[in-house]
Amino acid sequence: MKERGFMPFSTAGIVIVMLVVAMVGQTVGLRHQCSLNTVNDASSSALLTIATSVQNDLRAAARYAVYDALWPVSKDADGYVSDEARELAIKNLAARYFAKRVAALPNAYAKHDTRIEFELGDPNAQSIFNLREGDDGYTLADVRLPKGTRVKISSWDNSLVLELPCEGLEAFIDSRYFLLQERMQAFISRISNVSTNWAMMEYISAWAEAWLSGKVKLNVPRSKAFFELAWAAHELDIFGSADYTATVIGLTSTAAEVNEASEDILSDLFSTKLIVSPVRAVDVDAMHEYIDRALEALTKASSALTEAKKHVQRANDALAQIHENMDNVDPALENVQTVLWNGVVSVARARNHVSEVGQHFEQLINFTMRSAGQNVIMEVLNESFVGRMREDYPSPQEQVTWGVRGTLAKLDDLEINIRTSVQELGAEHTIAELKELMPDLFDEITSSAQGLLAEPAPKCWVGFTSYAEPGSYEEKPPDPVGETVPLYIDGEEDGTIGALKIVLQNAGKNLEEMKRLAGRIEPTSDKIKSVEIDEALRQKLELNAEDFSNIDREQLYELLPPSPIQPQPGLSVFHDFSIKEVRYERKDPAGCFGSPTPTPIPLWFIGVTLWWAQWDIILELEDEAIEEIFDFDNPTLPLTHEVMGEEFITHKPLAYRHEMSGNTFNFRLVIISLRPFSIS
Amino acid sequence: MNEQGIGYIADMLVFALLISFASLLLVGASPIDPKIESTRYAASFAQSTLLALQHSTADEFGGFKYQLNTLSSELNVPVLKGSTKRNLRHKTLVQLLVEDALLNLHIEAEGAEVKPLGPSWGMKSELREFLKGVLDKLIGGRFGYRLIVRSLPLDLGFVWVYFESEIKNLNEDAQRKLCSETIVATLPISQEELTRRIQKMLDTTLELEPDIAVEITLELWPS
Repeated sequence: MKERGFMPFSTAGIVIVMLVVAMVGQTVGLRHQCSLNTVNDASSSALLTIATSVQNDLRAAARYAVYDALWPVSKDADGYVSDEARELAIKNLAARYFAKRVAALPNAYAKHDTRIEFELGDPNAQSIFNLREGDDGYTLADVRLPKGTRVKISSWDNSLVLELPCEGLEAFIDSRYFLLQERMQAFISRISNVSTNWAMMEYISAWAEAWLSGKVKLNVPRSKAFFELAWAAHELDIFGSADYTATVIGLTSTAAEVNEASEDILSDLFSTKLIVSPVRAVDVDAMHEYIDRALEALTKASSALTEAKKHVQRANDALAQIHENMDNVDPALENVQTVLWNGVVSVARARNHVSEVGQHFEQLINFTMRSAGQNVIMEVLNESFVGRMREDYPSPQEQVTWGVRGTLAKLDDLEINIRTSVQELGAEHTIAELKELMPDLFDEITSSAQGLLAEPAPKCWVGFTSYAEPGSYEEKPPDPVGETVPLYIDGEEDGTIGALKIVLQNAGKNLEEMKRLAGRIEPTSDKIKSVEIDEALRQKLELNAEDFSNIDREQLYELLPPSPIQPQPGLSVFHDFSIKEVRYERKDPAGCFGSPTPTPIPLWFIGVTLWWAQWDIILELEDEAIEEIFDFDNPTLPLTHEVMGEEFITHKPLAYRHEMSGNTFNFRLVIISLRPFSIS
Repeated sequence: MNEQGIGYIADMLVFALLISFASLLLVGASPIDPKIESTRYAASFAQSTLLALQHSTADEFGGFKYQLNTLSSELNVPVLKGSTKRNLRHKTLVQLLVEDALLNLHIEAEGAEVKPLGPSWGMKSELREFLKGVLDKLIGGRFGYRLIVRSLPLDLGFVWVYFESEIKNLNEDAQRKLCSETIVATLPISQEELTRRIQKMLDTTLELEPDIAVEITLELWPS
């Protein structure tokens, strides 16, 4: 190490230290710059947050303006001619409320943060609101603010200014205005369903009374109660809930008018099982089948008897051709005998067929008896076939039984006569004697057969009062007239094939008549099916409504709408209507002429009287019936509510209130019964 | 060891000393200040959280509901017991805060509440609990926090009208606040209506305008 270095170590160290000091100085400068940048960055992102919050606040202001506008308009929903007019009113009102709120914003912001400047473009221009339906009937509001509306945020040192235009906003309104509007529209457009429900209840009740107790009592309290229930059922159908409290109050007050409990009215209605179904065409056709078979058997009996008559005629002709001077008369006489025997066979066949008539009629009675177990109508028809509808008019069974017996007896006589003729031919008579004897016998046989076949004159005529048929008059029925009905068989002596044929043909016609009348005036099975009130609604009707006495329910429901019966769509219901009057106008002929009984329509040949009563039932409501629904699932509107004289702001659901006027409900009640009933 | 040797050693020692000093200077030199950086992160986090409060609905955090307080006999009808529930699932969290402020505005005289409690007074505590859950989820333990909602008090001399609510979850030993971010939101009522209501409650004419806005401040603290 003899050589000297470039510089001493200490000098090099000093150089290095100087370099490091310079580098550190540079770093400190950089660090300061970084800090400044960080602060600026934080400050600008804070400005952006504030600007966004102002935008959100504007959106909230739009939402609250719509809240405020929705309430008065939908509380007066019937005051607008159409949905469009109602929506327009909401838009205009919301725009007005929004303008008021927005005008106060610049001051409000300035009080808290002077960096915020809110400028509403043209101060004379108004924001434009547009409403549209969102999912599930919620509301969406599009707001167009005046041109030039903006939010300006400056940093504290004004080094940074952020300007955001606010000319368009979309606000979600958590109230299902459109759902309420649509459901109320459905309720009103299908209000006739109330009549249908009500009619069904009246039908069930009146038919059960007519058939079971024989006393139909239409009374105003019961009709009112049924109407209340029908209204509730319609509400449930449309809104998924009903104003069950109002229904209970209505039921209780109407029940009190008849000294019953409301539960009695309900249990009477719900326990009435439909045991009466309208006359079924298929049953009538089955009965007609038996009658047709009996008539067919009668036709065969007629043919057989006609054949017997022809055989006798042929025998008569053959006898006439035999001469006394013939060589051998025996074969000729045998031929006459053979022909007469054929006549006997034909008469026997006719007798068999007549017996079949009796059997077919018995089968008809057995059929009605068998069906009677499940069907009251068939039970009554069975009674009608067997029993007399009037003392002086035999029952169908009596007539047919007598007819068959009488006919068989006459056929027996006829057969005996023919057999007698055959015997006479075999006796020791000369031809001359036979020719003198036989024609009288043959005439007797022929006339007897003709008597059996001929259409008899009525045995007697029975008088009755006849009313106009259903559907045969427009407004007022013609006066009743006296009429008569023929009676063909009043004992065995009247029994002939002709008489039986008339009786059975008329029975067939009466069955057809019954089917025709029933088809024309009876309600359909659907109409008088059992009343099915939703089980959940029935349970709600058991509540004690006394809690609501002296309470303004409408005001209370605005804050506390009752729970909906069904979870979907989650609406509560309020209604308030008063029934002005219920009128029952008799429309069947007997009723029109002031009779307290139904109009009889006798069907003599089947022993049935159709008892027919008909009313137009009209129910009028007082004007201003109120139907109101609440968005139970969304109690979201911060609105003023008064409780015990104190005003509070609290969350309320949107209400949609519709006032109806001039409501008249009516339907035609028709009772047709095979049993007589009284009316009161 | 001659004189030259001693000078050489001294030179080396001085060199070593200078190098050590330079190293020390370098160790402390960094272009980034960690404190500033953590404050910036906290501020940014607080701003994001405030934006989340404005945009998120209660439904996104499991829904918010409260029970109306049935104070009068009218509201105690048994059949309506199920109707007191208020489900506000579609409202944003800031909406809930401003509605709470409006529904539960305090009117105090000498430290005592003069306004009767409204049916919605239960909302306040329910909302506090709900928002605490929300903030716990959003902030997730990264920071301690304090959310303050307050209006400018209306001082009428004899009475104070104001709203204030606080939700916090922070370490009591924390010394230094990391950041404080504030947004302003207006109450869901017009100036005239609020004035009218306060006048009606106090049965007096107001000369001052009540504040229709509330400040929503989120402070973040070290966890």
